[in-house]
Amino acid sequence: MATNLEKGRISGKQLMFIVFCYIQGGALLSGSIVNITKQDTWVVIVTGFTVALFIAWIMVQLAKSFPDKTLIEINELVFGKIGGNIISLLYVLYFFLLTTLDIDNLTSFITGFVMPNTPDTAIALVFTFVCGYAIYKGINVIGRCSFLVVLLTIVTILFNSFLLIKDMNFNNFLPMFSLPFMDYVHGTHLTAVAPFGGSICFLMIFPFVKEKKHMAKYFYLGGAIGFLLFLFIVVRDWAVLGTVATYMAGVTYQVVGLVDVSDLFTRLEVLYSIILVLGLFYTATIEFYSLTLSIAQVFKAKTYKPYIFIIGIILICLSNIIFSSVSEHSYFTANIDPAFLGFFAALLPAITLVIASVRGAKKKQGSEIV
Amino acid sequence: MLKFIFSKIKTNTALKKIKAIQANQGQKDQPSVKLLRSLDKNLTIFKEVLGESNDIITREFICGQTQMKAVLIYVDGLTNVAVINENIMKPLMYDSKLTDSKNEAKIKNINDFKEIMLSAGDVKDSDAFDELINGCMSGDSVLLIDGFSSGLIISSRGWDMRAVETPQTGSVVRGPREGFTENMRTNTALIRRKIKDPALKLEVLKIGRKTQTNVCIAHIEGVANPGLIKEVKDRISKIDTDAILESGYIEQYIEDAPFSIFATIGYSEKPDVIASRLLSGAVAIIVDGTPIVLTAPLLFIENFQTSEDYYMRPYFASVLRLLRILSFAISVLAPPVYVALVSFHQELIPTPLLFTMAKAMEGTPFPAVIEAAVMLLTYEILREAGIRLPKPIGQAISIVGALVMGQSAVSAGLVGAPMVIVVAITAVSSFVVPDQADSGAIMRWLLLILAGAMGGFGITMGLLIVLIHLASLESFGMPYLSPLAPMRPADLKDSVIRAPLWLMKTRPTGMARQNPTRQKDNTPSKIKNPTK
Amino acid sequence: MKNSIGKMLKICLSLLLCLALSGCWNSRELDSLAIVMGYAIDKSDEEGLVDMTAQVAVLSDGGSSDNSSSSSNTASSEAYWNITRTGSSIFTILRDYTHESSRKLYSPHNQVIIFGNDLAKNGIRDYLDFFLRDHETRLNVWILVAKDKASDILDVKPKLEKIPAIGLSDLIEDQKATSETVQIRIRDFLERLISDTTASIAPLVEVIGEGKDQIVEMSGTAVFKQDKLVGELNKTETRGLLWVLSKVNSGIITVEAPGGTADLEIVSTETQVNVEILDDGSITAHVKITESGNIGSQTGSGDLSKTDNVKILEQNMNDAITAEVFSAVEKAKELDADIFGFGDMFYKKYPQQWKSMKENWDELFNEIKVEVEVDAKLRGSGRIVKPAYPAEEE
Repeated sequence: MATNLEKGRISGKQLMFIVFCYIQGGALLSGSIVNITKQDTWVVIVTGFTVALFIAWIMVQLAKSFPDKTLIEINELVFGKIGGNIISLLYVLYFFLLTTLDIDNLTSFITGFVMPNTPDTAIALVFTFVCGYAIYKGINVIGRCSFLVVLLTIVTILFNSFLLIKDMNFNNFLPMFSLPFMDYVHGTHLTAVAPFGGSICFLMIFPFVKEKKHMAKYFYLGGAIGFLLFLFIVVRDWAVLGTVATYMAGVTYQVVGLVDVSDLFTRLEVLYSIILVLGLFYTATIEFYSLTLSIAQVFKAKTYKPYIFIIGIILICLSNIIFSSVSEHSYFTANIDPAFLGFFAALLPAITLVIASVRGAKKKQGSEIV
Repeated sequence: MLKFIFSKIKTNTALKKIKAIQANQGQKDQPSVKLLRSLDKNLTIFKEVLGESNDIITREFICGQTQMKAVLIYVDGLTNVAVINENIMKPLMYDSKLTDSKNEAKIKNINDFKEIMLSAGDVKDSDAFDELINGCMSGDSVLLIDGFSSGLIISSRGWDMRAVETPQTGSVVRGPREGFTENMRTNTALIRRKIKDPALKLEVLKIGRKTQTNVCIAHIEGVANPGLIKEVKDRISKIDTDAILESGYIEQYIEDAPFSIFATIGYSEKPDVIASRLLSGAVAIIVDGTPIVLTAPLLFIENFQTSEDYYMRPYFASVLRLLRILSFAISVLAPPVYVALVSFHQELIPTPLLFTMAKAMEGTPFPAVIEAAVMLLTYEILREAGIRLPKPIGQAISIVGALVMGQSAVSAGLVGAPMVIVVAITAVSSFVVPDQADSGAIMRWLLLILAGAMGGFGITMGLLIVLIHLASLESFGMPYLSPLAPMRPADLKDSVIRAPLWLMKTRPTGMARQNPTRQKDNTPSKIKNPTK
Repeated sequence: MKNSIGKMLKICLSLLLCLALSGCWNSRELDSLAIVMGYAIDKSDEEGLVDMTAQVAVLSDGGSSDNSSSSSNTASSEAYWNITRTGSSIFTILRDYTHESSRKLYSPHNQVIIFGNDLAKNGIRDYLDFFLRDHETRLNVWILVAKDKASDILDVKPKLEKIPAIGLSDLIEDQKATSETVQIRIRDFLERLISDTTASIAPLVEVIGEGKDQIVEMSGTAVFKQDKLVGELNKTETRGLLWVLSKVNSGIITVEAPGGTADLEIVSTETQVNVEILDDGSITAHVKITESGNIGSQTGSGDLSKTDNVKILEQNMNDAITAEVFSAVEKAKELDADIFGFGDMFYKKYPQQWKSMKENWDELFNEIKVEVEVDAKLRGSGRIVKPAYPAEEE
């Protein structure tokens, strides 16, 4: 049924690149994590990644048990018609909030650093329009562009980092492992879910991947490389700025702004803002896409294209009202967001998987699946 | 008496039917009106349809020992008179007298004329009026013989045409300088000279009701995908229009994305380019009357490749390719980026440069966006005027434009000097990739508007939209941005760089699925065995 | 399909209209900017207020009809304009400038921020906050402290540049050649400021001379405790500090040499500092400096190419460097300011003990034993091998 909604297909490698870009959208705004774990942030990224790997494993298992079925269909199969619909609606709400958060991230970045006087709505309008356009063209196109975006991101980050080598001071990482334990737990929780929190979106995309056999491998690989780059960025930022980083809003932005090589390569933060916009574009597009697709599926529509416009408008309005102040935003990101994401990204899929395997066991015993 | 009336009726009916067909020409499944047996009747009908145009010649004569009446109808100017005289009239009128009447009794149908008596090359027989009329109008001679219900269409085409010369688009430093001409036969011959494989197949369709233009679809059997060939043929045969005056008409009727600013069908004026594309698995469309030959499919990256790239050695060819892509980027991005920097992101400009630019823009009345728009408009006007003007005046215009307008505008304080420089760079770089000058110009304007409204963010969003659009384009089944967008590593060798020829062993992925290998191992021996 | 094309067009059109009608909120024309090159902040005569001077680059060449507002200047139009206003905080003063300047101040190209001596003594943290928060300021701005009034520094017309602030910024960059001044950007200042124990430093500038012959000179380092100015280091002490921080680029040290004196040029140095808590509770910092240099010039007729003489020179160099470092340590102890960052080094190495050490760091710092070990090498002697003297009778 899902395969009727969307005719496009992506290859395994394109899935890998999409996952990478998805993580970058969240990773490049790593400020809040640095505040908590300071010089040991790299530790929590590594531990966070292992937890995220586990979450990814749950998703892959779900995808393997129900090949060619999107999340909505899986819910229906596992929880029954009514239960499935309720859970699916919960997910729809979740996707709404995810996408709104990302659009809001982008608008606050642009209005914060690049163009202070522009109203949020204008930026959100243009951005959502472009995301909507990409979705209109289909997952196919999103997959095709992903390689270029990945290439650009990696090249830019390496270039910037190369020029920053002379500013790096690895003494900033001392002392190691001297923070209270709860900080580490908090940090791990954040890194596990923040960049990768919307990974449940990929359950809507898995049915459209051409190679089913190696899909899991590409998924993990994309996540691993994404996290690796995330780690690299955080390490580089801390090496350059040290404790000052905890005071900065938009750490990476400030760090890149410090590049100053013989007056030739100065003020390079524009490059960084471009790849951040591209990364956030990917994140928002994937989430927007899952949102549209899931709404179309829940309401049993033939195609998802008419919904794009309406959902886009709603998202723009939502992104305006979601936070009333900056401190509310950072409080949310540091404290409420992990729990929220954890529930939907980890807990609910885990429950789904458990019930599915229980039901699957029942199926083997001969009872019928709804 | 009755017979007379009868024959009149017959003639008139046939005439009416022909007129009806002429009115509905191009539609399929038309009943063809057959020739009548009587020469006079046929001739009357012909004269009615063709009218009394001065250049349509009807030559009546007697041929053969049995004194058969015959008529040769041809259009003066479209025919090679020598062929008519030597190969048609002479054998029929003169040599036939040399045979004895016994053989003539063997002539049962028109085919015998074709096989025995005529010494012309391409002779077809037909019994349908519209075919004969089409043939006549195309420059063939139509032979009607009394008593036979079919006529002969004898190829006798010959007219004044341009000689094969260097094309004006696509000039090269190294490589063949031949270009196509307006004559389809010459063009097909030029291609045949490059590809002597009999697998090169040419199929001709006649498109266009009034123009009946010959459209030739060329492909190499076994290399081009059958699906592609079928698709091209289907699309072209579906065209139902009055006129096909140039290959551009065909392009616009069959292209994949008519609303996109990017062309999905390529064209060229040089036979070596067409030949190399045919060998990659593409299909060529040769249209009579224009030297521009189309190729399908087209990938975006091919716009930056010239035939010269392959005749040069790889290093410089790769550098040139990168240069072309860079120039295209500059021509599209320079004005918008300049406007964005100057209006929104002044902190990105190095301090000394900022002083110079601020000094230069001090006192200019308009914001940077308007300045840029006005300068670009002026440039477009100059460029278009330069193409249309006759050569002697063209030089003057360029001098007037550059010196007078640019310099005076700066001195009068209308625009800032940096703006003039930016537009000049844009203009020059847009000519490095002339094929994309049109899409580049439109992109430039769109990005300029976005840059003026939202600065760097606007440009990023604009480029993103362009990227998404390009990625979604498909040219006859091939993704437009391959080998970059759907990553095809094997094809990267020939995209932004040009790998050595002996490394390019396969044809582009997706084309030529049956026959993907171009060459066997041709690695120069010094590389294979470096010690020897 | 037709319907959706129409719809798409309408959407695109409405979007374009949005862009056009809005008026491009953030767009600023280049000639509407007052490009600030330097800020100078002084304590005002009035209680609780500060004077701020902004140096704006004047770019209009002056066309044919020029009602120059800088008519207060002399015949030659100045390339800069210093505006001074008074207010209670930096941001209010900045906005206040709009009452006087026809263009809004534009800070991203700002080169220097100079604090007046009196203001620095009272504490500059409050004034730094604006520069850290504002988007337009860059983290690379140089911070300076004036020996007297900051605005005087910006009034001195440099001999080689057009704008004083640019001249000042170039001056700071050139200090690498002698390494007798610290180079502090606002980010370095911040880094030290947020540390619990490390003292902030900033270069000192002063105006020397009178009237037309005024010049600006770098003259040592200002030492802060938290954010209040407590003392100064002179040039030698500053270089001692730089030795410990491993920030010496180049410089000349004059040492005794056989037959006279020799000026030795420092080419490259590297310093490693090791802090240790000894068993008896006392703390030491072990500074190991490796240096290599050339003979710049010599007086006298000693043949410095002989290995014995070279050894003497190297030993003298060691002594000279050690002396410089110790002079810096003495001054720092006198001022009770940990300018070397030893505190942070202890934190990095002994995080557990640091918790208790932090409290009484001032006393601990006073008692810290600094050991200096210098390894100076003489690499080259220039173009000539021996001094240009006639050979002496042995």
